Amino acid sequence: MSEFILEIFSEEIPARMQKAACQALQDHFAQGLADHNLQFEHIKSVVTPRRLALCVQGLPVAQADTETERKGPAVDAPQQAIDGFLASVQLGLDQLEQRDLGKKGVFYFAKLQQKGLPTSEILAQLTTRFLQSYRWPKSMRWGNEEFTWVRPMHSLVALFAGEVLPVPAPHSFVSVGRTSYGHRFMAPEPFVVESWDQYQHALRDRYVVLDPAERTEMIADGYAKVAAEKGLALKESAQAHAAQVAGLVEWPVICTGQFDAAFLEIPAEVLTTSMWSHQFFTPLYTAEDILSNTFVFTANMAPTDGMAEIVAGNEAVLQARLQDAQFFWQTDLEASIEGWNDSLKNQTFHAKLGSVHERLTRFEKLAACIDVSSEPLKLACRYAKADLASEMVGEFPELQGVMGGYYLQAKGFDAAVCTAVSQQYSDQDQTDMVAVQMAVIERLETLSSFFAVGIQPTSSKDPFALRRAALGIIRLAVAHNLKLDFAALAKANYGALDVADKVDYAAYSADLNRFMVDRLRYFLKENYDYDVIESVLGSQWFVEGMDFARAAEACAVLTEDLRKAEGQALLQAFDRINGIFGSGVEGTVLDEALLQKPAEKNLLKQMMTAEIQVLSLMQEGKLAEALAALQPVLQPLENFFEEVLVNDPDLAVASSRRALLHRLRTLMLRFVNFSALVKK
Amino acid sequence: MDTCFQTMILNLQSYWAKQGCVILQPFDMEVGAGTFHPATTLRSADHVPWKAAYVQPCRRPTDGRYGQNPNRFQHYYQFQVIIKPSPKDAQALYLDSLKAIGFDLMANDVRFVEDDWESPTLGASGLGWEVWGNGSEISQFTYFQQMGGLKCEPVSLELTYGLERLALVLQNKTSAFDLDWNGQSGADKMTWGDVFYENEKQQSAYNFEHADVPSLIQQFKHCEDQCGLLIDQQLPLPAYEFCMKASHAFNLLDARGAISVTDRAAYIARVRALAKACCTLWREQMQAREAA
Repeated sequence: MSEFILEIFSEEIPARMQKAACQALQDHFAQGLADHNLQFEHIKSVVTPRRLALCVQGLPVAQADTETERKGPAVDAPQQAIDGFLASVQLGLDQLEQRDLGKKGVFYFAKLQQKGLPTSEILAQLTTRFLQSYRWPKSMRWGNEEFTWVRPMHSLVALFAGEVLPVPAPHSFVSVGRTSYGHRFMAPEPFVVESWDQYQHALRDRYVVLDPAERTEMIADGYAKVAAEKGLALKESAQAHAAQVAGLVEWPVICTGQFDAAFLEIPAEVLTTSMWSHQFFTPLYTAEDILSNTFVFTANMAPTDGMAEIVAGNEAVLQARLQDAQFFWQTDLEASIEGWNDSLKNQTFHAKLGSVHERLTRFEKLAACIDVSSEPLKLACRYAKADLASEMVGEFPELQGVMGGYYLQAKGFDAAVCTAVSQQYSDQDQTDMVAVQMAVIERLETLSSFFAVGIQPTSSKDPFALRRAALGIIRLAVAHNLKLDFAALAKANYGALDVADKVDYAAYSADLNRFMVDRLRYFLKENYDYDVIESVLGSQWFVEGMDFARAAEACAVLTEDLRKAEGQALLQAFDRINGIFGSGVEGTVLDEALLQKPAEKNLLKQMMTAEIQVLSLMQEGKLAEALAALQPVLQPLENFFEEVLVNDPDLAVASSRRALLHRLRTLMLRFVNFSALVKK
Repeated sequence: MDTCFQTMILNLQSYWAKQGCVILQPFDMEVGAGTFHPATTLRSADHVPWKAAYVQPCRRPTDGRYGQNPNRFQHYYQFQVIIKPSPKDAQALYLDSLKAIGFDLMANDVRFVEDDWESPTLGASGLGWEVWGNGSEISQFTYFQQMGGLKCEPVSLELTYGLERLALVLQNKTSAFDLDWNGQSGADKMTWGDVFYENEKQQSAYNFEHADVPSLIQQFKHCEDQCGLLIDQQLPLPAYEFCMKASHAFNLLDARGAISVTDRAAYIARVRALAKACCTLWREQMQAREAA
C-alpha cells in the first residue's frame, strides 16, 4: 500500500477562498480514485496561505487486472464477419470459445484480459485535471501564458510511493518535483519531501502549521488565554475571527495591543469596525460586556527579539484610523440633522427613482398606512436616512443606520425613534414594534419602488437585493405576527412615487404579488411540505389579503393536524366530497324542505353550526380552533354517505343534496385549499 | 542605515535600476495615482516587453485634510515599478527592494493580503494584494489583467509603494509631518511637514472651497473633445495627456461636491472611453511598428 502526496505551492491565496478549494481538492481525488476503481484507506487535504496539499494513504500501486467477455458472431456467420471480430479483439480463432445459446444458435466468445493501469498514471491525470478545471472565485494569468490560477503558482510536489509523478508543469514558471519550502521569512530554504509524515514535521520545524483547523484552534486558544489573563472577555464572533485569521498566517503568533482609552467615547461599532473589518483585530470586552481598549491579533512572524516592534506598528495603524474616526464623530455631532436631510435632495437613490430625500416622503406615507397615530414611527421615517450625509457613514458605509441612531440620540430624540433608525437594516434583531415597522417600511419602499419603474430581479441578477428585501418583509411579518395589508401598502407607495415612467399599475401589482408569493413559498419551504404550502397559498383568504404571518401560522397548524388521524380524516372527507363534483356540475339550489332523511338533516345542522364557528374563529385569527371546529361535521358526513344516495331520481332532491355538499366543501375551502394536499 | 525620505527614494531607484528598469522622472502633469503615468497605462496595454520605475507625485483632492490629519493628504508620493511580462520571482524582487531601503524582514510582519485592484476610469483591473508592514498598507502589488478595456498580453507586474506610509513604518513615526526628509540635523534638518504642511493647507482650501466649478466643467469638456480629435489624428500620446487632464478635472469637481452620484458614474464612463481609445490606438501602433 502506497502514499500519494500533492502540494500546490503558490503566492498568497486569498483567505476567503481557501476552505472551498481545500474541500474541492479532496473531493476531486476521492471521486476520481473511486471512478477508477482505486480503493484507499485515508484521504486528507489541508491549506495555508501559500499551499494547497493533499495526502492519500493506502493506495494499491495499480488497478486490479480485469477480465471481460465479448460476444462475437455466430459460428456459421460469413467468414468476413468472423475475421472482423478476430481483428477487433486481436485474437486467433483457436483462442475463442464457442457457446450454445439455444434457439439463437452457437456463437463465438472472446475473453479479454485488461491489465490494470498503474496508479501513478491515474494520479498524474487527476492532478492535471484538477489544475485545469478547478474554478476559483477569481483567477488570473501571469507572465506570458494563458494558464490561470488564483495567484501565480511556483511549484508542485507530486509523489506516489516515493516517486515523482509525470505531471506536466501547467505553466513554464512552475517546477514539478519533490521540493517544498518553509515559512516565507523564517525558513525560506528548499527541502526535500519524502513522506506525508516527514512533510508535516519538516514544515512544523520550518514554522508552518499545515492544518487550518489546528491554526484556528491555536488562535482561538491564544485569544482566550489573553482574555483570561487580562480579566476580559471575547464575544462569540471571536471563533469566526480565528478561523478567518487562520487563512492569513502559516505560523500564528498571538499579539495583544491597546489603543488610547480616550477613543472609547466613539460608538463601539465604529471602533470594532475599524479593528476587525480593516485590520483583523479582535476586540476584548469587560465582564460587563463593555468594549475595552485592549485587542488581540495574530502575526505571522516570531522575531528573535520579540514582538514589541510588530505590536507597536499595528497599534500605530489603529491609532491613525481611530483619529480619523474621532474627527468624523466630533464633526458629525456638530452638524444639523435637518441640514443632512436637506442634502439628501442631492443624493441620488437611483436614476429612475430620484433622490434619497424623496424616499423619506414615501416612508412617511407608508408609516401613515401602518400606524397613523405613531409619532415615533413618523419621526423615524423622517430621519431614517439623515446619516447618509454624515462624515462617518461616508467613511464606514457599513455603519449606516447604526450611526443615525447615535446622532438622533445625541440630538435628544426619543429612544424608540433612535432604535428604529438604528435597526432599520438589521435582519432580525428589532427589539420593539416601531423598529419592526420601520424595518418593514424600508424594505417595502425599496421593493415596491423598483417594481414600479420596471426593475425586477432576474434569475442571475438582483443588484438592488430585492429578493432579500422581500424575504425581510416576510420574516418581520411572521416573527412579529404583523397584520400587514400588503396590497394597500404597495398601492400607497406606487401612488406616492412621483417619477416619469411608472409601469402600469395592474402589471406592477400582479408582478409584485407574484414575486412576494414566490418569496413566501421559498421562506415556508424551510419548514413545511410543498403540498401544505400550496394549499395555504391557494386559499381564498391568502390570495385576497397576502397575510404572510397568517400563512405561516396556517402551515404550522395544518402540518400539525395532518400528523394526526383527525387531520387525515378531514382530508379524506374533502376528497370524497370533491369526488362528487368531479364532473363539474354543482348543486344550484339548496331547498332545506327537500332534505328529509335524518342523516342529511343532521349534516345540514352540524354544518351550519360549524359554519358560524369556523368563520368567526377565522376572523379572530384562531386557526387551530377553526380547523378543529370542522371535526364535528365528519361523523354526520360519514352517516350521510352511508344512508343517502346523492343522485336521487328526483332532480330537485339531488340538486339540494349536491348543494349541501358543495356548501360544506366551500366551508372547508375557507380554511385552505384542501385540493392541493397530498394524502399520506 | 539611512532611512530618511529622500535616501529611501534614491535606494529604491538604484535597486530597480539594477534590475534592469528604466528610471524615469515624474510625469509633468497632475495624476491621481502613479498608474496614470503613460509609462504604466499605455505601456501595459501593448505586447512589447518593458521595465520602468519612477516616483510620481499624486493628487487626490478629496483626501485633503488641511494638514490636520497626520496620515491623510491631498498630495503624496508613490514609487511605481512596472515590469512586463511579470517575472517569475516577482514577490522575491519586491521583498528584496524592502531590504534595500533598510526594512528588516525578520523583525517585522510583512503580509500579502488579498486586494483586487480596479480602476473604473482606466477600464483596468488586476489581481494581487495590498502588502502590509505591521498592519500598515505599505504597497500595492498587482498583476494587470486588463488595461483600457484590453486584455493584458503579456501580464504586467505593477508595484506601487506608498512612500509616506512606508517611511512611517521604516522610521517608526506616527505622523507623516514628522518624517525625516533629508537625514540632516540642526539647521539643515528638514521634515516632511517642513516641506509640505503649508501645501496641504492651501491646496485643501483650493480643492474644497475655491476650485472654480463652471470652468472645471468646461475644462473637462474641452479635454474630452481634444482627446477625441487627437485620436482621429492617430496621436495616442498627446490624446492620452488630455485623458489625464479630464480625469484630474473630474477629481477636482468631485472634491467640490459638484458631482451627484449618478453624474459620477457618467463622468467615470466618459474618462474610461477616452482611456480605452488611447490604449487601443497605442497598441495598434506598437503592433504595426513591430511588424514593420
